[in-house]
Amino acid sequence: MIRFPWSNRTCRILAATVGLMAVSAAGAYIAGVAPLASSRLERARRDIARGNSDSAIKLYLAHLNAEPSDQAARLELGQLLKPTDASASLAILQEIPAEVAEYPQAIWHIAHIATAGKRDILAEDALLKLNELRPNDAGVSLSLAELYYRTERFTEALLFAKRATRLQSSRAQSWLLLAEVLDHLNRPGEMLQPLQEAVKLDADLYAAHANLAYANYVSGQLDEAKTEASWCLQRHPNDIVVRRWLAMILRDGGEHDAAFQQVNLALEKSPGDVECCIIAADLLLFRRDAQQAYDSLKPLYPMHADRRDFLGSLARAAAMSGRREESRRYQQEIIQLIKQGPVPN
Amino acid sequence: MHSNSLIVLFGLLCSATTVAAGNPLFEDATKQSGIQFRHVSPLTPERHLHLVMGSGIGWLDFDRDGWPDLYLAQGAPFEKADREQFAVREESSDRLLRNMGQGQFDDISDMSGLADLDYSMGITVGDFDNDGFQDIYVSNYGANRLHRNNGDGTFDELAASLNLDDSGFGSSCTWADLDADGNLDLFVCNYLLLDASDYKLCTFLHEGKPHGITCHPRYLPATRDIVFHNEGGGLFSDMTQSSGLMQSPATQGLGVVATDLDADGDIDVYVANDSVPNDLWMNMGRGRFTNEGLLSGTALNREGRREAGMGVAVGDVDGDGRPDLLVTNYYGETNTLYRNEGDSFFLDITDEFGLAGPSRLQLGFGISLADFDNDGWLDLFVANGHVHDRQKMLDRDEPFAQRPQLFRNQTGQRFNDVSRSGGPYFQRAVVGRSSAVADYDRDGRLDLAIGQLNSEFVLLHNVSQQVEMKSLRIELVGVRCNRDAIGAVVEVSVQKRRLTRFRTAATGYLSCDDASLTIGMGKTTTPAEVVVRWPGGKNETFRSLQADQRHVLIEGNGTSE
Repeated sequence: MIRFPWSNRTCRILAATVGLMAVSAAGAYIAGVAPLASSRLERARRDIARGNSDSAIKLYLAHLNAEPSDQAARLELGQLLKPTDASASLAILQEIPAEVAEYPQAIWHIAHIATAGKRDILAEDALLKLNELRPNDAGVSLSLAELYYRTERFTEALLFAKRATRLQSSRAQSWLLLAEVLDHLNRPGEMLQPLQEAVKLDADLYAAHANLAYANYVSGQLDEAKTEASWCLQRHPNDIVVRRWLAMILRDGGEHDAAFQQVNLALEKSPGDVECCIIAADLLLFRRDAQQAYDSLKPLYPMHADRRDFLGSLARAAAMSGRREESRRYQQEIIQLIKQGPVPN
Repeated sequence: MHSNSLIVLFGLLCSATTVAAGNPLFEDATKQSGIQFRHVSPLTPERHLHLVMGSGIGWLDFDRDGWPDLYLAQGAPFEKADREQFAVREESSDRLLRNMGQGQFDDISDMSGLADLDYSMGITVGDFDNDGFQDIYVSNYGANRLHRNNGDGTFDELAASLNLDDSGFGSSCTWADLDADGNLDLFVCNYLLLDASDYKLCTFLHEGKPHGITCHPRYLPATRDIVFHNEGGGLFSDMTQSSGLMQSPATQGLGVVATDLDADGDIDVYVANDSVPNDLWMNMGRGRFTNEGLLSGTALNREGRREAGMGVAVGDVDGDGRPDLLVTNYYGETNTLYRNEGDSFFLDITDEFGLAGPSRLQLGFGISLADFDNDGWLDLFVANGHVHDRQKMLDRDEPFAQRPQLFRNQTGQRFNDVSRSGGPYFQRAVVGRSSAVADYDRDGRLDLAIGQLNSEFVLLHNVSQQVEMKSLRIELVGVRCNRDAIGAVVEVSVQKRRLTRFRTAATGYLSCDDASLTIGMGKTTTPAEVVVRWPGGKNETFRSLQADQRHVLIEGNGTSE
């Protein structure tokens, strides 16, 4: 028998330690959790905390390569990529399936990225999905309203704008958006109420006051319209649009001289404003000063021959100043424009 | 301090009352009149279009007793079974109501022989056979009718035998001597091609389910307006082709007026169309027309847009002696005022005249231009009411019932909305349709008859405070021209003013005013001089006509010019 130089006790301890290590490794292997993987995720999170995004991204990617079903990690990576690489972020987030708990948040981020990047089709898809998940989310409704407004789908915008104001009635901008959608749908009479709500919430919301001037005007409430227009012009005397509306308000109220004054003030600031030119010309025609009306409009014809209101005014001025054939041509151009125009609601 | 405040307050109240005292005022006299008429037009679940259009009103003096009588057009249910049940009821037909005087009317429909069980639309009153008795032409959703007045309180229906029974979807119609031969011709507007056996229906989705909605008329086929020439001797011929109407496509005609719009001595015709450009048929002589709608500025509004025209009235709104045109339009559009500039041109002055704001959020149908306060300026009544009763389901805030409106003409400068002081009728929302004017109680003030969709007829008695305002009642009798003098123009000179009025046989929406002209003269103590431009071009002057009296002016009895 060969005897080692260590003592029997030392040999026994060494043997026990090696045995334990072997058992641990086997156990870990059997459990399927590589110690390396979890530590990668932790390291990634630590790197994020330290501001080391690049390293974190690599660790997340490695982790997901090893653990592809970790949707929480996938969501975290998507969020991490969002500020710097929206496309990559989108790609990651779009991998998260609908049946997992992380899905709503993923959709939210997708919607956010797509909206910010004006990728309307993707944004609409994401927002509609989010709307199904969170039908009472005012932010979702508002985002959809804004998207549809921006893409000129006003009928769809209306549904969501109304919902947004219902879900979050304390947001003045939502009421303002609703009013603008109604305006585009040619429903000016319904603008008053949302605009009044907007002003109640934010008494200095200029856009709401300006639109109130217009909405009151089309509703025939001229005194209220004048008050709102004056409020706006006190703050922004160079607002041509509001000054033009004030001219129309005064005209409709029978104050034709004052209307002229306002439209001339507007034209001083913006000589090419065709709508002001039309108002001025129509006032001249009302006074039967057809030649001056014609002289003021004719030079603008090359620029505005595609506008029915301009052609209408020019046609009238031409007819009243004895240019019947010329007037007939303009009227026929209007008919052509009508034929080409969109089908109304 | 306190007493000073009271004085100021008292002064303010007085001035407000004074202003209100000048405004026209009406009271509802329907009950006292004895008229019990309810228009029948129940909406179907499918919302068949013709059922929302309403029916007209015609004033006439069928018995020549000097008191204006009433012809009320009646609707009808759509479903056959409902119609059969309806037909046996008393109120199923159009009604003729005889004015007994003292503000009372008697329903003499049955004894008169008048019966029309179709859905009646437009009415025009005129003596087509020049026998001295006014006849009635009624357009229907179905065959039109001509009720010839026999002069003995009875009528014979002759449309079929005279080939006037066009069975399209007739709307407004008017008698007018279009070729100046002394006989009244007939211009009949037709609206849409809507065959009862193949009726176009439309739907919308609400909460996943389809619901009926009246179809948009622009997308339904239109049917052509028709001109019937009165050959004399009780004969008529269709002169639509030779009149020139075929030069334009068929349009969705709803309102019509016929008068001399360009002061060249012949009768022109203006048609308000629904959702397509309006037509201005200028008479080139002898009943041949060209369509000058576009060139005249009356086809579209000032923005170059087509509007959904319903009714049309003609009158000298600004006191310049020329006939202006006023068209009622759809919700979201203004009623449009076209000022006659002469030389066959009209200017849209709706905004400048104060009509845009008050009319934009209404759907106007009936329209009556009449001097309600006798100050010499034509005031305005508008009957409002939507065609869609399901707008809420479409999430639209457009009420079905709407308030009627009354406007006072401010010395030819603008119309002021005085509905609030017009009386109780103007304070409630109704589904208004037709309106027609007459001084039914001969008190010198013009009253209003109003038709409402599927609802009671209303008679409004004018109780405006006169404050020394006078009026003149003129009845015209043609001798060389048509007996009713339809197409005549009357100019009344009083105190440096010239008041011009037009004798028409149709006005507003589907309706016809009283033939006698009640002309407000303002405060005057001097007799008036009246120039009549008879149809055919002859002018005559009648002098020393006293205010607050009836004057029968017979062609040939005046001083020729």
